[in-house]
Amino acid sequence: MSQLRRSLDELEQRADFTRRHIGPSETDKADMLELLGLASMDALIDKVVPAAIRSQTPLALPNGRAEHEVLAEMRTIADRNQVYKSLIGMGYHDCHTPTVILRNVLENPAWYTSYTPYQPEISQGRLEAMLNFQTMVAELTGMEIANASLLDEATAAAEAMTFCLKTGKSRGNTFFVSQDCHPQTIQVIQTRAQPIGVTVVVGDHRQDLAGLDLFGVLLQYPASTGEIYDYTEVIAQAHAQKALVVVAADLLSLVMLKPPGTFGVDVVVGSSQRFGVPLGYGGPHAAFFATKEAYKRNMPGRLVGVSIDKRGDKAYRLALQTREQHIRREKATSNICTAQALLAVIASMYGVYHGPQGLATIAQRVHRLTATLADGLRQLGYDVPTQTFFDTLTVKTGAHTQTVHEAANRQRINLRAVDAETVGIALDETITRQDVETLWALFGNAGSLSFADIENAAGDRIPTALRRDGPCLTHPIFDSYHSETEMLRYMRALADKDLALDRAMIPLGSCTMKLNATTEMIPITWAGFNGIHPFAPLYQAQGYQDLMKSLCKGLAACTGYDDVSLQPNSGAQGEYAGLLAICAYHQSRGEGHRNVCLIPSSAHGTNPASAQMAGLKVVVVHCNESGDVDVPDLRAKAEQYSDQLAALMVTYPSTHGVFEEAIVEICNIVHQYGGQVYIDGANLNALIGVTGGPGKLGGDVSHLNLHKTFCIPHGGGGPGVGPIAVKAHLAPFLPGLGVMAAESTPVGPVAAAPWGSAGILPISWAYVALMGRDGLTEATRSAILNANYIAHRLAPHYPVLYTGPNGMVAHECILDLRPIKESTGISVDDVAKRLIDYGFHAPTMSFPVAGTLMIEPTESESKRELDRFCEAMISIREEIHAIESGAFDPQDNPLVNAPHTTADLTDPEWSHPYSREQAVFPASTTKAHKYWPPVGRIDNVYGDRNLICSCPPLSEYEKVA
Amino acid sequence: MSTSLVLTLIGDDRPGLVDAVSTAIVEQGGNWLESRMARLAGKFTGILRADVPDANAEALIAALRKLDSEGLRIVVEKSAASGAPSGYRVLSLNLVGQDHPGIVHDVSHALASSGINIEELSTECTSASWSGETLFHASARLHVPQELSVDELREVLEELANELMVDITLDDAVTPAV
Repeated sequence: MSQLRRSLDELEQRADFTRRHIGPSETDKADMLELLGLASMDALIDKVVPAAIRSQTPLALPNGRAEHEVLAEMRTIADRNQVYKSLIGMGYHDCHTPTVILRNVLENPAWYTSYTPYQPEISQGRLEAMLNFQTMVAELTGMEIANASLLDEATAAAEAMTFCLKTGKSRGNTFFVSQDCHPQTIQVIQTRAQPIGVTVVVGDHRQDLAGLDLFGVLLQYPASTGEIYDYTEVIAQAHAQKALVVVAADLLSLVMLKPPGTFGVDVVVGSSQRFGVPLGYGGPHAAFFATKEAYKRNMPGRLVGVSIDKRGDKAYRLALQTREQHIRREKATSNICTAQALLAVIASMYGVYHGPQGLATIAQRVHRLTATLADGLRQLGYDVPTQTFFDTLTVKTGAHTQTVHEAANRQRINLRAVDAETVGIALDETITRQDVETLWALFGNAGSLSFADIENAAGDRIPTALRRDGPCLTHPIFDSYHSETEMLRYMRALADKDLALDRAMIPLGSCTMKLNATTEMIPITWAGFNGIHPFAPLYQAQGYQDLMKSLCKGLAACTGYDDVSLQPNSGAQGEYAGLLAICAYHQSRGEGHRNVCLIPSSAHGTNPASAQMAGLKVVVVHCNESGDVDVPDLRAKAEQYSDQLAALMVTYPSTHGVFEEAIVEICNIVHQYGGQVYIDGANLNALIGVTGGPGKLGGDVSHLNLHKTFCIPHGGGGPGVGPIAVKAHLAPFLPGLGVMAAESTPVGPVAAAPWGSAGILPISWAYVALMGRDGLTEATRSAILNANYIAHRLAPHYPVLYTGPNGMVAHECILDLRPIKESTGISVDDVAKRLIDYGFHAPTMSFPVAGTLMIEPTESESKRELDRFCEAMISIREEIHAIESGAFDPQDNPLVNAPHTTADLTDPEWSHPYSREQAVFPASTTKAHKYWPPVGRIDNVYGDRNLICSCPPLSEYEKVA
Repeated sequence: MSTSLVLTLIGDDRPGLVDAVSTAIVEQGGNWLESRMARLAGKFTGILRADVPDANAEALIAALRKLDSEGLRIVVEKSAASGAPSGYRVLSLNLVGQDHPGIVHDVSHALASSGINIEELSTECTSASWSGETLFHASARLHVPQELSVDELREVLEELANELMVDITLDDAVTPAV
């Protein structure tokens, strides 16, 4: 026992979270710095970060706090939200998340900390779950093929619009949108159409189509009012005009309704939220996009397909990946490169949990109660103009409207305020018979109504011609796991197939796979946060509004900007919103003709795609040999296009992981020629605290990937959250709040929900609160230390492609494997797959330079894990040496055959020139703790040429089991 | 008057191959015009057009053939220079997809069946960003008969793209290839 009496401050452990979030201990840091030949962390930062951009002042934030304190404050924030029963509908419906799914998926790091399944061999579990999602959506919509989710219903509809433009045979320029679509969908479509010159006509689908120069039509099924229309005629008419037809559909209603696929529509979009995903004040939720087989190559979003591995066994992988390559192109019609994987998994599990009978029971109950409600209201003398419906009614309340809303308010119920004389009511699976009686009472003296009598008499209100005949969800996967034990084990079995952050570091460059701390995650499943409808009145969401205001302030402090919009629900969406702000700013100054966007050749592929969507013309700026922006070329192009220059999009630190010295000069040049500077926030993790943030470097707007820098987990490929931060002059041009906007705004909404994926913002808020001023700065410093430590350890074995003039990297480093490819034929893919045998997820492959690996360790990985990774990479280099020296056959060695599975290990025919032990236990640590890939190397070409994007028949499962 | 010579060359890659060819051309008063050369799987190979005064044409051909002894095999032909054929429109085709055997064969077969001439073709394999898969890229300049409508051609290519699971785009070739 030490004699030193420690201060009470020390004993209170207020900064304790920082040391838990950051991997290396103080002793580790000292050792790592010594290896780098540096005396201190300060010396490291002095050497790495150019003096011109160093921040002289600490972040304008309070210091960090203990986890229990932050949790207690979050509880008080959640309590300031008032969870009313929201019957507003408009595409958002309360639901019961089955608790077995809540705990074992939504609250389980094995699911939420995994990355997008670009490495399919370590992602079979979530790929199967997403394939279930696709199968479920395809069956319910009656379409041939469905993707593995989009961001929300409104953006899915906007994607459908550009899909029709690209896919259809019509030369028209008009997209017709039924006035019975959800208002937020119409608004997002209008925002999206304007910059690309598409005319949107909103009208009555029964009479307004004729004479339009159409390329596409959007209808809602059932309509936003609740009415179920038979669209047969309008579809025939649209097709006669060569237009494609999109239907936005409600997934639960499709359990009872005739699927849109059967009446010939081309695309079905919608939200799967009510399949077990909490409201979360607007998101995140998984939208879907389903279409015809013939259009598969034009479908936006990720698509899971079935293929075979090297032994010929069934294996899942992302299909038609070359579609993502489109995003590099200036002709892109979409910048979608993320999904809502975690939410799609939950929705698919909801389908597996309930199965066809369970879903039918839920749907019939909701429908029965709605019919009962309607009949009661009519008996009370109200005009219910909705004749046929599933779960949503429109009620003419006339002069009583205000009284009805007030009565609802007293019962803590939200109804939809359609207009001054009409209310809307949308029921959901949580509604009970008592709730229906309560609803009647809002409208008048319901004492005379007998629930039993009315319910008894209430018939089916789905038009006969539009009733589903035959069961939904016929695949056996939806009828196999109905006991909780079976369900529990199914989800566990899938999770066990995958490699997520709960097993090993995921050193993906440009992805910032840092700790998603438990304390940050816990509040997101509290009712106070996840039970709020996105269009609930503001006073019910006071906690959210406070939290978001505080988060915006924190983000502004970290980035050096003045204002923040939290609406964009992915990084790419943020890029798009940021460019719209720039364009609207130019327009407001009478310079709307500015339409050239300069983009360095090293930029992320989504940059040009976003610019295209914002109506900008992309001009590429060259990079020099060291990977930096070629400043003379930038100056020349800025000057050449000075009259048209709208913006520069630049990533900082560069996509090559280097702090470019010239960034301030680059921003000045663009401003000098009248352009605005968009700094892509993908690499923000290297900037916070050690610089003033992108706003202080000269940026006018940036998007921030909260799922990278601010700890929102990747969820196996979404949710992403991409707020944009702007300087004050761009603040008026942030995305409008749409349905919740008090007045019209220069820029419309870019996402369905006014505050985007609000439900997961508590994660980022908690991170900022826990780390505080010093913790956030130390995180940046440690991320830079970890990256340089790895670069230093691996440089003798693999060339590090780009460094700053001081020989240092920023927060990530690129290893050049092209010389190895040249000398041995071993590719980055081979190294990536061999890392699986060592128990690691591969670094980022071939981005931003083909034939390289980009490694970003983040601050959260300990020295021990960094060493384990470095040793694996060094050991792999030795295996490559053995190929170079002729000891290994270039066609038969542990790399080209990787990953090795238990099937390989137990194969009686072992003919390789290396041992079974070397194959599966290449490092001593793997003997104590081994990750076994469930499948071998997957054949992508086979999968794409034999495309199957729904669950294979049951016999396939038996074969593998 | 000068003669136009078209050459193809191939040899084991080593420093000095281009120098050897260019020296022969310069020594005969020739002029190096268009060329494409690349190292492919350890071999250096290329195509080249050079103009040379009529009087020196045979001497140059002989000089080039002599390079055979230095390990560079060269085929030389005199060109009967002709301008672009008439009655054709020029389109550019771009293709990207997962690499697999037979893409060039299937595409060229489909184009030939429609009477389309491939004027230029270049292809490469790269490692796809993020997924690391091998991608096959091709870009071609096509001479398309006037009587074949672009819509018809698009339909042919769309069908092919679905069959091969590749993406094919077709654009007007704005600038002539140099």
